[in-house]
Amino acid sequence: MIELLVAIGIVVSVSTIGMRFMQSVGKSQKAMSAQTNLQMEARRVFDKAVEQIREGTELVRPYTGETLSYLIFKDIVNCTTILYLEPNNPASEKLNRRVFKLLSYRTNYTGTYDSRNEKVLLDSVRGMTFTSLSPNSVQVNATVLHEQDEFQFLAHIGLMNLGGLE
Amino acid sequence: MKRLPRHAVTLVEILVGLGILAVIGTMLVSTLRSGRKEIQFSSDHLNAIILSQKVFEDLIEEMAMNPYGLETLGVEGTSPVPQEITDGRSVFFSYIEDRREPWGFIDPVADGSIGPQMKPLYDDIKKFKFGLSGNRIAPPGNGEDSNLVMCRLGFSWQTQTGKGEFESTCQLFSPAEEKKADLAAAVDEPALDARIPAEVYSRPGKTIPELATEIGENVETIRALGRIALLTQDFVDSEGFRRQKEKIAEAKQRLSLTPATSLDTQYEYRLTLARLWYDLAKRCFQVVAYLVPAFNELKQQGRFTAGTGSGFDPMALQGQLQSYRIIYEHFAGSLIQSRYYYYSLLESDLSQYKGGKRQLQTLQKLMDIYRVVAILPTRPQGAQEYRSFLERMKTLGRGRNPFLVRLVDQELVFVQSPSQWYDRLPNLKRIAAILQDQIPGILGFIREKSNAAVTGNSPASSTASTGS
Amino acid sequence: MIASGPHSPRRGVALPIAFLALILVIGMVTSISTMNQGLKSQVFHSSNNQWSFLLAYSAMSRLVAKIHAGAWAQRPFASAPYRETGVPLQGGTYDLFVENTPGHPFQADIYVKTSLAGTSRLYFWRITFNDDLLDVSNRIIVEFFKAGEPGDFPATAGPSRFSKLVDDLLTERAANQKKSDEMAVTLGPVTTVKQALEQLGGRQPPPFTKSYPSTPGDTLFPNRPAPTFPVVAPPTNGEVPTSPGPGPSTPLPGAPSFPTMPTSPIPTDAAMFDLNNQVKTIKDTAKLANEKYNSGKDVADQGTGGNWAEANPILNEAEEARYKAMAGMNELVSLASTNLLNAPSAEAARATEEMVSSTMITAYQDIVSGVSRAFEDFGKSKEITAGLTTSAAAQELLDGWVGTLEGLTKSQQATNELMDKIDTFSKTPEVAKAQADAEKALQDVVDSVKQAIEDAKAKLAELKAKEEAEKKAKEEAEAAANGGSQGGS
Repeated sequence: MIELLVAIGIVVSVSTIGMRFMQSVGKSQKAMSAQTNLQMEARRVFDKAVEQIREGTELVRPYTGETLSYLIFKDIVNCTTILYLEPNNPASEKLNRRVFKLLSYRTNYTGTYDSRNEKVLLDSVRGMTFTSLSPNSVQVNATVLHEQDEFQFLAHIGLMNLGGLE
Repeated sequence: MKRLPRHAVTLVEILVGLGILAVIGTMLVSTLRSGRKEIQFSSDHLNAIILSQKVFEDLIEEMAMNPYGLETLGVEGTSPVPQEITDGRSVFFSYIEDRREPWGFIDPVADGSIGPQMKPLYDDIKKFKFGLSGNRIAPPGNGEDSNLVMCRLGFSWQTQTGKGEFESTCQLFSPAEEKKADLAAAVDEPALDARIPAEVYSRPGKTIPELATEIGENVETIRALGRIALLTQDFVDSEGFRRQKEKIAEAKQRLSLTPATSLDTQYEYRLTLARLWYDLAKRCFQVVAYLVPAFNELKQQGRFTAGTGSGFDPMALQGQLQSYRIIYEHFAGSLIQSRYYYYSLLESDLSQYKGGKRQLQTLQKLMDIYRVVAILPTRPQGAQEYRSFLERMKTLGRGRNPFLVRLVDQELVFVQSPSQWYDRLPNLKRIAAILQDQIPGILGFIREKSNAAVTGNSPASSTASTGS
Repeated sequence: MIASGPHSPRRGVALPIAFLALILVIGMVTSISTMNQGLKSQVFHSSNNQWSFLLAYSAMSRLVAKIHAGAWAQRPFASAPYRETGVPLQGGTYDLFVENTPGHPFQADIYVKTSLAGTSRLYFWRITFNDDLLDVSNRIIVEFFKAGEPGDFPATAGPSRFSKLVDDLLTERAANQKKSDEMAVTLGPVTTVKQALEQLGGRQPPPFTKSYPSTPGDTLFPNRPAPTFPVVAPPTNGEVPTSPGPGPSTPLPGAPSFPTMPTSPIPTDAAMFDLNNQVKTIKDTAKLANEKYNSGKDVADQGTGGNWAEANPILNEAEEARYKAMAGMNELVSLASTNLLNAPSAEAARATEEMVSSTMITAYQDIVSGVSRAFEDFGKSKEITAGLTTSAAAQELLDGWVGTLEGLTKSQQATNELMDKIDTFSKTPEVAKAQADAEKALQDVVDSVKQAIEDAKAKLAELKAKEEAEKKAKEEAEAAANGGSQGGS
């Protein structure tokens, strides 16, 4: 009987410890995975933003010295493009906080909407601002979300297709 | 009855199993820990990459605006002083956002820095430091390397296991030498000299040395005056010169008929006028600059004897010299016209129509024009005009464009000391060597010779009063 | 369960459980490592992206520095494309290909292919070199930039798929310029994304379906007023050009606060005349007139009493030359007036005026010198009239001199009217004095002729009186002779 009790005790303790341990391992791994995804997303957004804006010809808004939650610029062929945040309601409900999508829309100058010119660049953004310190570049302050984790970065992107006045 | 085999574990087995599990658990925990550290390190590394991109973009923008941008940013030198990023401790991270009133104006202290309100960024990067250094690859006079700066940027941060580092380098164009130009390349000097005896001295078939002997003047002077006479005449008589003025008149005519609301057309014609006047100024300056050595020859070696027969004709001489003065004044006047029309592009309606990029490019163009006007010897108010313009630029850039403000501040300092200013701007130094050092003497020489041609030609008074 | 029994075979489960756990752990470790590797490769990708761009930018900067080191004509790709291959830089290598942009002087197409840690990328710049002696800043203009595929790196010179793409994109860019400018104006006053999307023709974003608590650090954008585009203050009135130049001089349309240029009294065309040829013509003809007057007078001075018969043809040539010179001077003023209206500045106009006035006055001096010489004998009018013996001769001389004075006065008037045309022209003090001296010299000639006429009149009166007296004496003598003969018969 005593042996049985001791054995049961050992098994129960070990099982409890083991289960807790596995739970915490599971949680850690989940958190790490989320962190990793978050950083990958941030990297992707950063590279994408740099690529798109760097080939632009001109900033339209924000004006120099202004900060806005959207960016309007002329792309490599002078098509006016806007980067803006749109509410992501499913993600917001899931996380019980405001979550946005980052979208770009490139006008065709006809005044009519063309869905082919709209792209979702990122699904989970907590916030994004664009600040202009010169007409030739823009500062991006972005906070990317994954689950409950956030990654914020600050980028300065110079437009390269500036041309000259002469 | 047979006893069934019983599956059971002994205590020893359990303890051994537990021991093995413990070892495995330890391995797992350490793997998880190192995984977390790796993730944190990668996160820091990603931050370092993104931040270094920001610093380099700032540097590229600064250098595009100002070849001495390393100085204005305080990074010139070989020993980078590590800077922190947050709380406004670095000029690179002091104009982040416009967060409060007055809107459209970023105060680096009040609303421009990375502060605790910018979480989680603030927490992630407050441990970062960076060092930025930049050096010219070679001192002036060493070809292309003299016009390049090497910039080294290193981010470092403390980690749980030690220190993280990320370095990147870049070479940037920073012209410290003057732009090379061959003034004589546009002139066919042998062909020009061949025309001198016939067209300038009415002695076809003679060579310049023969002319020199006949006239009693030295060869270099004959050639110098011949080049002045022919080049000025050719220039003023040229289709290009005439046509330029016609184009200006046409553009002005069209502009005068353009309604104020037609911004696109307004902009186009004003820019056309600015370019036409500027082009005229450029061409006139090329003639003026090219003939400076010829004038120096005349001043230093010219004997200007009346000579025998149709030697040096003072009246012809003064006419030829005066043409040079007219071309110089056309250069100066056209430059001011060009400045006027470029400035007119900055009118509020047009500026907004064409956008901030065009506005900045126009300001940069104007800056160069103002600089040259500031050193015109015949326009003493030019320097003050330039200073006033710089103040207007600063007002525009304050709180909005720190690159522009730094450039203007640096320029306002240099302008106080012409020698330092010219050393920084070698192209301007070359222009000043002509405008400031040579033109006053040349214009004085022209005035002297023109007056002499007239005063030496006075008719003798009539002897009317011979007495009754 | 702890069991015992001497004869039961025992199988433990601890080791199998341990093995199972080991497998699980190995699986977990593998997944964590893979995740980290993935993350590392992402971070590597970003750093490679960044480093490659910096490498390419450095290569482009080096090329620009090379161009700047010499005149444009000495650029390394002046006659054929310039290449660099496998150049080590900043931890990687790059290949460079540069050629002149077809159809565009002072432009270059630059291809940079970077290789960094096994990854290749292509970057393209089209730059314009500012060939301008008056350029101070040495800015190089980037007309076009694009990242491309490494396969687009040119193997040979000349058009390629990529260069055609560049041209097409530039064409499209130019075609959209006006539309994009107008769109920018409409987007100026917008204060929200919705307003911006409305202008751009985009889809209106849906709102949040629930309200959520805002987290600290959220950037809130309260209703800000519409922004104003930052503008720079206009120049001062002193910075305005001092002359309107060719073409109509009307204020700039729509520019109430912008200082205006001076207006010109009449509309100007753009004619720009070369005054040098006219100056030369005047110089030659005025000088010729002077020479002819002098040589004519020299001939007249030969022989006693004046060899006017031979001198007159030469003096007539002098007159012709004088008329030509004066016609030329008239033309010069007319051409100069047009040039003055077209002058880019008051200073340029002044320089032209001074050249014209110097020329006019020098020609005037030559004419006056010649005329003075031709009329110098009028200074000896007393000698000349002293030799007259009859009133008829004196009358003839007087009539001739009166006619001469008429002609001279007309010439003087014509010359003065001509010189009056440059009254408002700028002159140096020395030139102004020279003009006054020449005017006085001409006036002296006129005065000498007037004096000669007075002398001739006096002589005529004297001779007439003398002849009258002689006649009377003769008549008295005759009357006396006639009266004596009548008394003797």
